[in-house]
Amino acid sequence: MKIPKERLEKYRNIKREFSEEEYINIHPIQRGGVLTEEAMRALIEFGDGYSVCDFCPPKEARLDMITRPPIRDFYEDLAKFLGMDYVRVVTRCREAIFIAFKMLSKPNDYVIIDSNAHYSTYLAAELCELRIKEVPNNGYPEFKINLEAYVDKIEEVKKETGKLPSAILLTHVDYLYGNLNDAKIVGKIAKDYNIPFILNCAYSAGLMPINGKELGADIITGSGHKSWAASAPTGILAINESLKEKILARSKISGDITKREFKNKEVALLGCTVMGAPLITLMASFPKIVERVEKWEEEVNKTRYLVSELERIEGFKQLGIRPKLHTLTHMESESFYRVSLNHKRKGFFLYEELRERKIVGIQPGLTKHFKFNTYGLTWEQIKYVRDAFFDIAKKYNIEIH
Amino acid sequence: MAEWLGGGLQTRLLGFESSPWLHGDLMISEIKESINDLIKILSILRKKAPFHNLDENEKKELINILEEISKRINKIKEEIIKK
Repeated sequence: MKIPKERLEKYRNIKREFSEEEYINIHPIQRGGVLTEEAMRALIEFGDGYSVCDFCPPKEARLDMITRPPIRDFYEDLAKFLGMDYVRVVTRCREAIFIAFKMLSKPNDYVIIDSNAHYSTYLAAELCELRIKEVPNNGYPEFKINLEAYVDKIEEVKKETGKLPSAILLTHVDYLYGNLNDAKIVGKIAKDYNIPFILNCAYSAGLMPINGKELGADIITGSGHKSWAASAPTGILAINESLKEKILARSKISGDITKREFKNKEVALLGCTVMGAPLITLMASFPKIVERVEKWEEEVNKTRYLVSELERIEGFKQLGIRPKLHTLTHMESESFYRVSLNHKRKGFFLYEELRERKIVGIQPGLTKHFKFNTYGLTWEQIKYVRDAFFDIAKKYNIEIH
Repeated sequence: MAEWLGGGLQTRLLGFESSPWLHGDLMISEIKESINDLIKILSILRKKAPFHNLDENEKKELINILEEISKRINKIKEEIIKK
């Protein structure tokens, strides 16, 4: 079917409405994915389809074996950087979790996850036909995961099925409250029971120092577009030697007529994964990532400062663990909610007031509570965000203490 | 054999070590370096969003980059004239 010419016009010159150059973007999931200068340059160089495959080695035709550009070296360096033995870049963190679940379990097995886990963790388990047990959090206002309760859940599974769960998963930093969990506690429990431990570092690896071996993780999953200054889709699957054979199992299938075999391909990855621009941005940003994780404390300080300032506004209260240990923040804002009830734009007033002040990223329609992330903003920008909120509060006669 | 293993098109057509285009001509490299310099400017402006209030050092840095771009564009023009 032919698409009318005029309909196609809108695709020719696509521009982002809220560019990073013109707005301060405090979107909770976007700050860590802002590209470095190096990644922006690499996008132009490697934007064409299979651009990284120019020198795919004929004897080992696999993405992780390419040396020009240096993908093979990158995988090695990335593994070292995370304190793990092997790395594969996949499309998303959720795909990495899916692969881990799939290769470690059989349908109807149990996996144990924390109750602040991302929805995609649940879907990954569902697609693998697994059952889940959730480790509870302590509810409002901290929503802190009771890490010791992993033991209770393992025992529950053991009692119910007569065997151990296939894996236990902890979300290192959750997407709801930005709570940072002490992964070592769960790593120790996993080791005591000899159960593979998957640590979901979508919001931590790439932003803060992570050493999988020190944390007791058997698998680390990460997100390039969330936390590694890379374009989407990029996920990271990092594993230790003990699980290599299981997770990166090679293909055994053979064509019944052709007898074709693909013995060097890794089954769970369906062969090559992210070949092209997203992978290259991940690689190009890597030197800056190695540097920036060392400045994590400063990033957290900026967040704590902004939180303490915003809490001067009547009705503002940070949810989650205090003081903040991560830059993703969930704020309760009762006073702005009260304004929204009588405002002609209802809940959209906050989003629009911020947008007028060149700040975007708060979910449109939310006022009772909202999330934001300050990662990578300069002090000047942080203070500008604070001033904008103060300005809005004053406009609607909300007290600032 | 390469096709059998799932190797890339270029590998199959030209052989693994073929790379005659790796050292492009001056015009192309100047165009790409100009783009890179413009990206450098964008990166600086990102840190100064939303109002791009620049101090004297930042202004100087941006002007230097722009002058560099200007030189490159002149070289590109010269190359085009030579063609």
